[in-house]
Amino acid sequence: MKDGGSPMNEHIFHRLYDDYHSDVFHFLIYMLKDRATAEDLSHEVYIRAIKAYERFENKSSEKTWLFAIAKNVAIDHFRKQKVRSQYAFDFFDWESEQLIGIDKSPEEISIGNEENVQLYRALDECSGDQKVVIILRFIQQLSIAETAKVLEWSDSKVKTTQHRAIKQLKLLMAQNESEAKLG
Amino acid sequence: MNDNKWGELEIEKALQNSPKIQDTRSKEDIFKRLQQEGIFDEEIVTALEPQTPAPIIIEKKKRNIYSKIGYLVALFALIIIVPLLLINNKANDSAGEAVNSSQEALDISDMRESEEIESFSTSEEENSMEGKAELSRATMEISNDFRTALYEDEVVDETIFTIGLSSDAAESVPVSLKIPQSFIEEAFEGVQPTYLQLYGVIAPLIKEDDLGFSDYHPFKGHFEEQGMRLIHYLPVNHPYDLGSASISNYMGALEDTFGNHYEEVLILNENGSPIEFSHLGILDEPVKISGIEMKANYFIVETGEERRYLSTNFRTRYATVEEAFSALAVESNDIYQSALIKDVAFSIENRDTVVAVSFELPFDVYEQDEVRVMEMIEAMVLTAASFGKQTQFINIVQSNWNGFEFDTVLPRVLGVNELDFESIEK
Repeated sequence: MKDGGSPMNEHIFHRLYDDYHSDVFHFLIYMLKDRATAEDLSHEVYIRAIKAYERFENKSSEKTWLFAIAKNVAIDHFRKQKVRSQYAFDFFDWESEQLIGIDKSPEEISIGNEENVQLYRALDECSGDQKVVIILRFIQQLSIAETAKVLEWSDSKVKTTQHRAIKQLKLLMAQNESEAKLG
Repeated sequence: MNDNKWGELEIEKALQNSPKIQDTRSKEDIFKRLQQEGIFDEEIVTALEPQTPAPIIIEKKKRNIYSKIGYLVALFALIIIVPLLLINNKANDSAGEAVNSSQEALDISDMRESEEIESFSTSEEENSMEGKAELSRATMEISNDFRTALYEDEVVDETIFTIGLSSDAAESVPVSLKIPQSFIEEAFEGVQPTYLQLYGVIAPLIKEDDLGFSDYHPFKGHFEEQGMRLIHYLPVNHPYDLGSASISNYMGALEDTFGNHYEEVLILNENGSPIEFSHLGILDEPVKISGIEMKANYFIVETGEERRYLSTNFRTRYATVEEAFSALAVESNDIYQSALIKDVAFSIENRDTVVAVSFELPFDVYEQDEVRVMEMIEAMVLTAASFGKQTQFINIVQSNWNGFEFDTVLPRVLGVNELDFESIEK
């Protein structure tokens, strides 16, 4: 082991933290809906980012590059969770799978009115690709182009997925309302 | 509430107004945690050639079990165990066992600087290492080889039998045996058995306890073959539904044992009705199983008796071989340890049927603990095999080592964690 740390790695950390930590944490907590897990995964994001930094080729912005890492870290988490809890033999296809966070949302999310909480629950019922697009586009407020970069998709795929996701959320919320009226 | 409450526009606005959630930890706390993980101890590799796949820098977590005591144990191992190994000439089946864990403490890697890809002079390197290599080769002649997997080039008139063994420490771990044709002919009176029939004869012979596993086989209940489908009829009060871990072990053992020979397993109650597992619900569809080509990567797992095996990490699948190799360094839990050697950087190239693993700096197998080297190499070979590919290593100083010819593509893998059939048969 070398004496002392790597100033370069420390510099990378400080800059990534200052510029993006808040956004990346925000993204993770809406993906996972669990503060402790989001904290662990944000740690993993830094590890991967620092290790891979020299491969960052400025083909995309640093922000979309970091979000892409955060997305992969979150998907890996869901993949492992599924393998362990349900014993999945097949590939974990995050785009078609549901990415369901824990049932109890962080307090900050639940503080909103009950209908908004239902909206976040409905988001869990969407497919993985729809959930990620919704979080990136509306909660993180990335542009179509930025979202496409993060997901390595075409702009048109982002638009189509976003459109379907909103339709799906509308349908799910309508169902919730119907059930509430019947109940 | 009117019907327009959740129109598309309202949904978009509600999402855009989502509460902003802040991380309550300080920057200093996060920095300290990363520092403790050693992330700032690694230099980043620079000056890569254009188009060169990025090297993977290995940074393994510190392992608590190998402490200062381990150093003393390692000294003991050098003084006592190594001579015994040389005398007994039995390194093959015990390479990953006691000596292995002890020698980890002696894993004094040379911590090369990863600054630039150097031009590599084979003759110069070989000359400088000649004395050491000769000594190691001489030792090898006595101590057999450290290979633990079964390769195509070593199988003659034998059938590969693989079985998933179970332990408290980990999920099912596959082990393989070469069953001589003469044994099969004698046992089945000249009729070639199906794999299920072979399982019925071999499984009871395996002393799982002696290998550091739980007494698990043969499976409870009975099986039926329908072409590539296996049906497992489970009795009432079977032991495979005691919790998520026991289900996981059961499914893993089924896959490891039968995955090379059958495509799926239908699990039923003894009376033929669909079975229900407490954590999975009713299983009315057969479970797909893969054999060695399960698109996973390999880690080291220790079972009881301090034995070490190569195994997938909770069967985590990857879409591509590149992803699987990248994740070889990631220790996502305390059970499966990365087999990669610290500070050995490499890149991979995914060719048609071969994964080419290029070490960034000339890699001298004799400068490391050889058991460690074998674990790393076989973890890579098995990971490639998991995607149906063979492996070629580039930039290894030696051209021959432990039965491997590094100048060419390594032979196809047929089985993982070989056990000596003769010792089982006794």
